[in-house]
Amino acid sequence: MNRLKSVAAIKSIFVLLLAITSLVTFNASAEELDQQSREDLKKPARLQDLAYGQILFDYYRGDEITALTHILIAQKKQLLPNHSNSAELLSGVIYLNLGMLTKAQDIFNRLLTEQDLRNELLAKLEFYLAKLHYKQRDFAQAKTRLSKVYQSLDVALRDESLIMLSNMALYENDLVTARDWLGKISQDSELLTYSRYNLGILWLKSGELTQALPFLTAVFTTHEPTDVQRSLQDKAKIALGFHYLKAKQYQLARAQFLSVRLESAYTNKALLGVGWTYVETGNYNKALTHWLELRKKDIRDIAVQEALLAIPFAYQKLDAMQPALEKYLEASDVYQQQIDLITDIEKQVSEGNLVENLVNKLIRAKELGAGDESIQDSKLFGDVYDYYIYELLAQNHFNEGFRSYQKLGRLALMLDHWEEQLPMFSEMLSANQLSFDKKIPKVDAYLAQGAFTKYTQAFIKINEDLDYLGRSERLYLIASPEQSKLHQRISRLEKNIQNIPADMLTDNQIDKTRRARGVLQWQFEENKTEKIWQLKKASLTIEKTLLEMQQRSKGLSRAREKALTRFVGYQDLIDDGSQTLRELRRRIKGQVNIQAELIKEQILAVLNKRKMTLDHFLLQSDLSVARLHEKAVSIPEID
Amino acid sequence: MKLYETLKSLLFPQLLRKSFITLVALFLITSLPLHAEQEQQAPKLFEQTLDQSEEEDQLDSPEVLQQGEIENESKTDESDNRTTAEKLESLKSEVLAVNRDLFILEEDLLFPASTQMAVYFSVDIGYFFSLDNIKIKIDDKQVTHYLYTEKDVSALYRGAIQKVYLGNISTGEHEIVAILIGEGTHKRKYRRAVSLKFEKGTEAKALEIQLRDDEGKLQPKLNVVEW
Repeated sequence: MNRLKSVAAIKSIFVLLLAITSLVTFNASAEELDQQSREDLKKPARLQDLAYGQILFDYYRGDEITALTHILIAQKKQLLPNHSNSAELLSGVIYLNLGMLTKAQDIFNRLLTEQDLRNELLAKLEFYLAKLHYKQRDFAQAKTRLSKVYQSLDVALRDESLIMLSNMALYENDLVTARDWLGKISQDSELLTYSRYNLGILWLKSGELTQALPFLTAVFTTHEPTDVQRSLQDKAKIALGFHYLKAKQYQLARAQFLSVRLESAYTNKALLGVGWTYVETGNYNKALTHWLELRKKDIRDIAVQEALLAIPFAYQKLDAMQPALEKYLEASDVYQQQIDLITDIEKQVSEGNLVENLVNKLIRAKELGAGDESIQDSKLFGDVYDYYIYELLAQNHFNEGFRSYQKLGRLALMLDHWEEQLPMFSEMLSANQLSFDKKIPKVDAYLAQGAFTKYTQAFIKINEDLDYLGRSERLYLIASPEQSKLHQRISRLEKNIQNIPADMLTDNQIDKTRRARGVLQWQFEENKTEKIWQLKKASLTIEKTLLEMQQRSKGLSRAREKALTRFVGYQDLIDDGSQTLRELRRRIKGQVNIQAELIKEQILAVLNKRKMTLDHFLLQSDLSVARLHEKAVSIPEID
Repeated sequence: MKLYETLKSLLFPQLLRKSFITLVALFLITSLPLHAEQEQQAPKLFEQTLDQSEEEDQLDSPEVLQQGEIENESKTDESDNRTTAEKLESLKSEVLAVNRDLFILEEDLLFPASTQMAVYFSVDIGYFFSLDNIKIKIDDKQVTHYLYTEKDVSALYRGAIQKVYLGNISTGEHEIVAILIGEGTHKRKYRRAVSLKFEKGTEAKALEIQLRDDEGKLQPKLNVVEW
């Protein structure tokens, strides 16, 4: 039942967490955003940081730890300029769920103001924080926080707050205050069943049966009760039944016992109680009928074990001494077997590593949400033994203790991942360093060639030529191969003419030379514009390529510089990481051992209690056997 | 008492019990004198049951408060003044910090900023498209293919952003193509693609592929945004 309740609590936390995060993701209008001078945690915001979007992706998928890791990374890398508060609030929510109360508390105290806490959604955070304090028995904190926010909560959480406040008052033996808190619970609350049961028991303990009856005879008011509600009703009937039995109101007691459902977990107690009501009214046969029925049930149940002793007692009362003696002997046998069984488990718990294995198994459970189930389903010692500690395994506080450790275990799984990764990082570093070392000489050679400078100089020359061409100078630069040859011939001719004394040349010869140059010039001018345009176009492409080449060259140069320091420090980081992992692993193991010892203590305490009860039963049974034998011996003497 | 134990051991074995019963009775007379008050004591065990029942009549609630409930959470270690809960929290904190640092180290090693390229994916509303899978190609080479689960889709529809690819590319111009496959309106198979040419500089590059509803055309549309 406790398990069901804690699962429900986890679900409600999860729903809340989703609601909280949805606050910060839905789009809002631009006007609203403009008006925001600071990050308002109560209003939806437009997603502005990619990193925050990714955090939400992990979180919404239920991968809380990855989301938290991404928050921590984003915070360290300052990737959340616009959503730092929202991300931190979300980290607080995750810390809370991971049982990291101090961290969560620090964040909430810092981010949430008193004004914020009047907001229902944020008040819920305070509620869950208070609930964690309550679970950790820090009642002062729990009371302060709950009384601060319970009125801002919705009905269901308000009622749960009232239950907690009531329980805390009860713990301090302040029954009146406890009753007052319970009285405030709304009538249509889901927790009404608990409150009615609790209130009834409180009245009953105060000796106020009249006040208790309305609550205990109808702990639920719904027409479609759940299994938990029905079970609670059976529990109430058992309580009433034994109350009547103690008050010697046997008919009323029997009526209560008989109304317990046959499939209930309390059937055995009811059967036992019915038997006692008959015994008290002298109807031993009827008592036997019920107890013999009870005898067929699991022998490890305490009611069944008590029935083993009650059965021969009834036979004895019916003067059936032989069956009484046999049943006492049988009971003693059973008690001894069960004591041996318990002694065996105690030995296994004390000396074996069964508990350690269980703790490890639970800690390494992959699914956090399945924590309770894995505890419930775990076979600690096997079917024969587990019954004796089943109640402990099913208890809420036992599970709560484990949940925190399981979450540590989930975190410890990350260490497994890094323990596998770090050696690979190390290899990767060595490989990269080797690769760099091989490439550096090639890079150095390339940079030494000065290829880029050479090309740049050539490009400058081309641009100068283009300038000449733009001014219609040096047109031979756009000459075709034939024109070029012609240009060279004419140029040589002109040079030769210049070297020949003027009186040796005729005017005709000079004119011919000029005409030749003129004709060539004419040919050059033909399509000059188009050719120059083509050259300029090519020049632009070259310029672009050179620019790219320049960038690559600079990049290469930078990479060359960085190559010397690119991986400096990484190996140290890897080594430090490995050492930290080993240290954390050692400490986690230490915590696991501590937890194993605590579990051992709890199990041994439960077993010891059961063993003491069995010892008491065995003693009574043996004494009864002795008394019967004494009677058997003394009767003939009387005769 | 030792004698009594011996007697008890003699009493229990089934085969011996009947044949030795008289002998045992005689033994009892001589060795275990019983008082009159013991004779009158009936094993009124329900008194014990009542006590147990009262113990169990503790208040019940979703979080029942019980003695010793959280002893394990607050137990202190003699060598350290902190409680177990505090030590546990500190341990968790350290594990998380180490995890963060190693994550950063891994990213620095595998995806240095100078070559890092990340592709994100976001969805808005999604009336006209039911997401099934996404393929990303960079420079005509498929770099990732992601199949969506219900949880993924739900997370995206609620406003989260998925980092769908993280890798390395050289500086210079590149082309990204994103192909989305899913169901369009009327449950028809639907493929949608978008491409973008982008320049990768020396800083880490981030692109966001956005799936948006085009209400005018009643169909989804894809955008690529450079961050």
